[in-house]
Amino acid sequence: MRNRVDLQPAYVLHTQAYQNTSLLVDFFCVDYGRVRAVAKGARRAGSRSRSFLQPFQPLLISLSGRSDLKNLLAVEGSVSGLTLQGVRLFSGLYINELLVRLLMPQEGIPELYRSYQQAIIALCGEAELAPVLRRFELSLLEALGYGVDLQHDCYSAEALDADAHYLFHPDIGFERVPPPVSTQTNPAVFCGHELLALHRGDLADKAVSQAALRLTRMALQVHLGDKPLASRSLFTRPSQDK
Amino acid sequence: MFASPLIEKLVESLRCLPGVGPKSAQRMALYLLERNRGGGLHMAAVLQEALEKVGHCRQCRTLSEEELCRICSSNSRHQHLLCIVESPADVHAIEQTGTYRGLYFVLMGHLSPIDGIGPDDIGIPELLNYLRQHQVEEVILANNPTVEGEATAFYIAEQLKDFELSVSRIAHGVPVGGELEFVDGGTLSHAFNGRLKVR
Repeated sequence: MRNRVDLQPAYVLHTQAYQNTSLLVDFFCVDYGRVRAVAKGARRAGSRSRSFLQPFQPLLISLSGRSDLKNLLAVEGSVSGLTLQGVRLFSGLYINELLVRLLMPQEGIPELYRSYQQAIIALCGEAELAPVLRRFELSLLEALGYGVDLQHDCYSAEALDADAHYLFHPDIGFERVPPPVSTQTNPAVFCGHELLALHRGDLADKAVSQAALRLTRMALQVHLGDKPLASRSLFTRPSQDK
Repeated sequence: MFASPLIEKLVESLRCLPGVGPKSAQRMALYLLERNRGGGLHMAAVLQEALEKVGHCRQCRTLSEEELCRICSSNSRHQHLLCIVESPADVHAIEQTGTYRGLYFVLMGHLSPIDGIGPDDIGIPELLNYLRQHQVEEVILANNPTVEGEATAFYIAEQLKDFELSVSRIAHGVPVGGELEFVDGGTLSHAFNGRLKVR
């Protein structure tokens, strides 16, 4: 990353208070990936940048600095304000948590940025949530270098058969299992036609959507480690009576 | 740095305050030792006392040295109004306005998945317990107008669906005495979305 970057397209992933009046902001930039910067004076009363430094808004940012921690020189945005509401907001927070947990700092992945942008735009609209999230999760795995091959058997390299069943090995791929198999007993077993539908991006069917959820959870779990994703707890009720 | 290990220890412990680096800590330590020993002793005693005695109010979770804070135990407050805020500083700010006469519930934070703060960490179970045990007619969500604050407000509103009470969210808009020209776009669009009927 150069010492000075001007008008870089970026989204805010996360902010935290820093010193008396500043903010520490994690950006997701198109060319530089996850970048952390100090927004000086952003928490001062009347700061104009504060309302822009909220997640889910497309921004243009200018950064300077030699170290990994940059200084935020300027921020521009077209629309500002809180664009996501309700469950869509929780989904957005989930996507952001995934990125903060899994992205290496300062590694630009423009394709992932585009998928992120598409996901956020879809969340702002009326689209159904599950397909948006699954598509983003798959492209995130792809961008991290652990893309799931939804077309081939990982051992025989043969094309997936719609009528067969396959066992999923995270980070490796799908292995054909001989019949008889029951998907109920083993959550890692998938039907061939579900995987092919997923490859086509066709998540309208409920069974395919559920299979996709199972698949992406398993695939992401390997990289997330033991610490659970806190944003998942938002979709459920809190524990009763501690 | 100093010949005395005790002074170094003092400087080091002053650094636990937010925004105090080595230089400021040294200045503070030397000031207390050179010029204001009385003030320093007084501060040490008060600090000790406060840290030992101040806990959380068992009803609203704000910081209080009594088991039930003054607002919760007051008879002149409207018991059927509950305002949910993020921090004791917010309670103070609302109290300063003098317009609100109900009770509070202090979350001590907001939902922030990336920081690992979930519903259980901001006292949502306690809040639901409180609402089950008390007669509350209206809950006012006074969370900050940030993404995390919005998420928290929505989450609480979802949890309150089973209760028979009205839930409202504080308005955000143009500051009093402000000029539209200088208000940022986000606030202005919010002000338009939440406009009031005049006639």
